[in-house]
Amino acid sequence: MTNRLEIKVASDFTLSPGPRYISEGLHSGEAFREEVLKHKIALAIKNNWKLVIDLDNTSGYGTSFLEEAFGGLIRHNGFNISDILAHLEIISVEEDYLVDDIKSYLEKAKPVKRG
Amino acid sequence: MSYRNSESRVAGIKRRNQLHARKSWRRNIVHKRKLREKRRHKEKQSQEAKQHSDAYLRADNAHSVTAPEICSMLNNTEEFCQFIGNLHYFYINNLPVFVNMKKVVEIDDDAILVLLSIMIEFKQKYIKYNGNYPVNKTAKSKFENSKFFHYLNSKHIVDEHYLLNSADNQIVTHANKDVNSDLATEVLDDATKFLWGTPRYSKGAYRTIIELMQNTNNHASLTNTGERHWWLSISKDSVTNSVSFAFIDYGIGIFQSLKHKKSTHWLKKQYEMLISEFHNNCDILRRMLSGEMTNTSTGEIYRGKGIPGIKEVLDRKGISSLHIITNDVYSDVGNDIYKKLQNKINGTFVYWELNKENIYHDK
Repeated sequence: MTNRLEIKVASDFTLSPGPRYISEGLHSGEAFREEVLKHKIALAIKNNWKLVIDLDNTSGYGTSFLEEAFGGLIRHNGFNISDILAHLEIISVEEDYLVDDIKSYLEKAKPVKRG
Repeated sequence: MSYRNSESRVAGIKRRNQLHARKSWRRNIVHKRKLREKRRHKEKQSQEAKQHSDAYLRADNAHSVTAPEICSMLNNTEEFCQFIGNLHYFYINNLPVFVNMKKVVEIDDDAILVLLSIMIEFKQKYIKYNGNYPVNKTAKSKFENSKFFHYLNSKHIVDEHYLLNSADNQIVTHANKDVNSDLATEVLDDATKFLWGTPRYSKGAYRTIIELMQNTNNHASLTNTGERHWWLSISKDSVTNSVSFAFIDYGIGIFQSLKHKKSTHWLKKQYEMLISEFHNNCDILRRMLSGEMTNTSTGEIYRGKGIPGIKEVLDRKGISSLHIITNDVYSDVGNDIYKKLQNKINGTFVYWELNKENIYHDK
């Protein structure tokens, strides 16, 4: 797994991460997942690359933003946790605890039953 | 005496009489004019006095609500909550109010925020809201300088930003329904620039603001999300070199929100279990903030989500002096003080400070 994809939240999405859902305000976790994250993680899994997400240099994060962005990959986009964990690396120097928080959101997320 | 002499004397008397009558008539006219002017002046004075009198301001059968001597959410919580509760009663019942501030000797920035938000809620519902000034000079001057009356007297107020000034600091108040992350960044750039000279990242304060906005958007209304306004105010104090934040929503409050969750929701089950064990909300708030609320079916700990996430920010020194007042609980979270209030508030009030001891990151 030598190739790397990168997402810098500050430059690729926003300096001011916002709420959980698009309906609640701008720069939501749902928007980040749908517009940026799901495409890159799908590409990383498909090609067996690493997706490195840099969370630094933003104003900060609410818990709902992160939960929806990462937990939502399992709930709404049909990814499974082992694929995500195998291809994802989180960088968060300014708030190191976010790495564990995101891991726990992924572990607790359950796929939404359809139909 | 000849007839001629007698005739000329009569004519002389007549002339004098006519002259006198004319003079008298003129004097009378002048006198009456002066009386009229005097009466008009008096009427004008009494009209002015009337317009500034409480009675005039209390017109339209407004209900008088007296503010406590110390208007402060943190330093006189019970009395101030009772005062808010009284105003809330008239608001719910669409009744005009006259807020009697005469007794007030001390008024905090957070109280001005609360009064401003209440007054605007009244005006948005077209309920008459009026009031007088404190007699105490310091309190009066603080209130006058706050521009509160500018908003009181303006006809149309559905702004999202209200700028209040006082002599030694600045209060900026924002009102909105959405989670406004750009505003959170803007507010914190301003606050950190005041503290450190240039804008910094204050990720703890940012998370606090976002969680509170999200909480109001999701939980403040029983019916729909995004129905209730939140109010955020920042106040810079150059004496203590700190910035204080006050956030308020007039929703249903944390415990009412738990009570109204679906009966199958684990947080509701946990709340009902704990309320039967402790019989008060103080311990429940303490447990909730400390991450001790657990989902008994999955073992999931209610940690780092929403309101509990704010306690983590405090523990990491991202903010200082966190106080939460919600429904019937007052809490000074950092000092582990939780008190049951006799006078409940409908909604949630959160206060915290940012100072140079708090964690920041360079931009």
